[in-house]
Amino acid sequence: MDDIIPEFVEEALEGLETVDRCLLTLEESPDDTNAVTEVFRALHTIKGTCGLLGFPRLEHLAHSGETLFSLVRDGDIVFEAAVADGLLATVDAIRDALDVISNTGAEADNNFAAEIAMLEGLASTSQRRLGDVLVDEGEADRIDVEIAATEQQLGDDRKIGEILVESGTVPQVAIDQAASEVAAAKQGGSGSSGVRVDIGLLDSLMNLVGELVLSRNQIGTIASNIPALAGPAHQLSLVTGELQDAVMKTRMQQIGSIWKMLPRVVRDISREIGKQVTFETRGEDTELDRAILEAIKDPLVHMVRNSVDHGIESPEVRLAAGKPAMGQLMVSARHQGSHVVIEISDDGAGLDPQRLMAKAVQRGLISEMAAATMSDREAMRLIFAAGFSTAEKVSNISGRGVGMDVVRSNVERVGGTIEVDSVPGMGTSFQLRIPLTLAIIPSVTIRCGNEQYTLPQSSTHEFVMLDRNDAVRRIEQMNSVPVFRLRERLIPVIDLHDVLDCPRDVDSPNVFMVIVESDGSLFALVVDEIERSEEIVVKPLGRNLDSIPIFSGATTMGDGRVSLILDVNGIARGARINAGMVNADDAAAIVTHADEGEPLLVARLRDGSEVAIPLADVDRLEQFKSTAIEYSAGRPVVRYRGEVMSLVDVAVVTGRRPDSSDWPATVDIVVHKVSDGFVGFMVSQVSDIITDATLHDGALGEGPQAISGDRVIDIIDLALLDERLGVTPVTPQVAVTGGAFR
Amino acid sequence: MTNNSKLELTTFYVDGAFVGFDVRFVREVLKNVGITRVPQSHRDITGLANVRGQIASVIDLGSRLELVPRPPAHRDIQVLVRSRGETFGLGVDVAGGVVEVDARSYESPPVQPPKSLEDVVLGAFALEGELLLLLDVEKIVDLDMVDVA
Repeated sequence: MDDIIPEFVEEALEGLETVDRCLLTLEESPDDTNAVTEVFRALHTIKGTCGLLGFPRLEHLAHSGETLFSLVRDGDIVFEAAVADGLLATVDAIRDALDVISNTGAEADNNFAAEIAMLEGLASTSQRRLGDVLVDEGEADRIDVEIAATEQQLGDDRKIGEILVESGTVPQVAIDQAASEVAAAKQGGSGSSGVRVDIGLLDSLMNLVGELVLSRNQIGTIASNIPALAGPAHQLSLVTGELQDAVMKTRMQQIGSIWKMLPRVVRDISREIGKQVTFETRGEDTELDRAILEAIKDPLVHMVRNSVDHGIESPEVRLAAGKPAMGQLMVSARHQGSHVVIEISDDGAGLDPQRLMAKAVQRGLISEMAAATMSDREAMRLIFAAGFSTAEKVSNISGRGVGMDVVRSNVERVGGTIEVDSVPGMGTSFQLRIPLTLAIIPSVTIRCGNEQYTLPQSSTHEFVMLDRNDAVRRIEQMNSVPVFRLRERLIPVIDLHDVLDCPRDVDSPNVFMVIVESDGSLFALVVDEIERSEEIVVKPLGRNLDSIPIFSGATTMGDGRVSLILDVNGIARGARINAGMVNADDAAAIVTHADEGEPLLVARLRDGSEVAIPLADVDRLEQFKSTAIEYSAGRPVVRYRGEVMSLVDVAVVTGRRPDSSDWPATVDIVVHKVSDGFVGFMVSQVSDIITDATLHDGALGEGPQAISGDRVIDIIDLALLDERLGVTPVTPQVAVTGGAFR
Repeated sequence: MTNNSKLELTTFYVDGAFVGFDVRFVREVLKNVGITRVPQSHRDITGLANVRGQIASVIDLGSRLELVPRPPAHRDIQVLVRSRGETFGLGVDVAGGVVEVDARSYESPPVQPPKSLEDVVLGAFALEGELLLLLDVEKIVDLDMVDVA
């Protein structure tokens, strides 16, 4: 007996897991007969074994669950929310009972009266309905129906209608009619106000309405020149608009269908890892296009898991931090314009920006320089970076290879955005903005050469118009990557003409830049013209073209031609590889104002380029005649303050000029003090001291850069150069005379 | 059985070759449709055409059959065929009308077509001095994606 019980408990728990899973499946697709069979079998097995082992109370509970579910299986009742809830509650009650059995070897005292009453209530509502209809229609007497119901309860497994027909009380035709009324009432709420429609039909309706919208727009343009058409065109416009709204509504589903799955997710995880969480959902009646709902379902479940796993602390930690042991987790949804805003917030440990940055540096996602100049907000966004996971201990809940980067890309794929906000120690809140519908999206048409392309408005930030002649000057080269400066931010530039292999329109006086965002960084697309913004219907490219990364689909234009929809993420990725950019994220994102105002010494080198040196690193500025430069062990040195000072040719060590000969008559030396003497850094001429520069982490190549006015200047870190070269004079030599010093 | 052996082919000329498709695959023949070029696409693809709101990828049949040096030419006539729920346009030079052939006279091509055609040619029919190649629509529209230019 003792051996049997653990085995039974384990088997039963497995069975319950199956039931859980199948019930969720059924909520999605009530017609899944496999799931129905599995639930039925699992409950039946539990009931049977309970009877065998002598757990009558549990047996009774399982039996009631089975009875209710048999009605679902037989189609007598519809698997609706109340039934699902009842069965889930039963599963939970059985689990609790199994816990007790597993610990004590005996049943608890609980006789599950409440659960059983609820299950019987659910089962009898449906039974009474058919009887009620028959009585109401005058087809049967109340007493006949009740007799039939009693027979059922006594173990007759025929349906109530069958009993009535076979006993000759009611004609079959009346039963059929009543049954169909019952079914209609359950499906549509009342009478015949609801019909089931194939989703493919809705998709094609949507597509057709989209075409109609385009035609309406075309006719609208023509009608503006023909007075007689104005009235009808206006009417057409109104009707089309309403039709579009109506069709869109047919595709809407309540977010509650996702909310419903979450409590179980939360409870299972918190149980598994020993956390205590109260979970709340709000705004379940918020509606979204079903395709979008489908796309964000997994990310949402994942985020909720994450919040329990990483966000909310264990009860001990919470108590130690002076918080209640029970953590709070809330998901909410609400409409905001043409978007739905979904928020997931917890009162857990929050995100620690320092730890995030340390992790990102450790994983090579950002440089130390970038980390040092990063704001807390930017640091928090790091959790969305690819290859980032803060879990120190990878648990089987979150450590499934799905990070927040996947969540972010799923959200962005449907045109949404995700933001994070957190107060360390107080909690974390994620905010998702999701468009209501995918099928018709606002877009911007651009021209490249003589071709038109379409950009989803959601991926464009702003537009910049440049004089074509001026553009060459405004687009600077930074380590052979073209960049554009937009309000103190350096933005990598991608020429769409190169990407799309089309000729530049050199006749037009202007060039346009579309500032777009990909993976959280901005970049600029060079195009010839921004034509107009309009609503488009997104269509798939087909099997031979959908693998091209730079397009996300196609649409038909007013002139009947097809226009390709550009995928900015795909373009960014492609350009990154071509330009050899290691990490364009940093390049675009991390321009900081923290160091603004730090004075920089600007010096010109022999090749004409400029470098900037933080003034704090400069001890003195000296000038020498080039004839004063001597060589010691092949290295240039100069006598300075009674010592021999090593010289470093900045042009050579920064790779700008291969050799160190050919000096002008006098050279400027930036003297830098090191622990055991001085090192002189040779430049051609010190030209300026600037204080208005912003520092920029030059992750595009190496070393940071300063931006001042129109200039982008490499910053030289003298300490770093010195260390790398090992030029510190180790043994100061005796200076003979001071002749060279001016 | 005799009825079943009759096969109706919609025929076309492309780069001098006489080709046909089973008439059941051909939906319509379009002339002078606007085609949008698709950068970074497969070398046989001419572009995309709008067929009453449906987007069809247009494949140059001449290029697909490797009858002409690439890149694909712009052809005036597009044969619309349907495969697995998707509409495709196949660029040809001249429409040749419907030809009824006896499936039993179906022979392995007397003149060996280029090696590259073996996969897409179902058979050949000798018709009054002309050799009509029956093409496999499914295979024609499935481009080898490894081949992406």
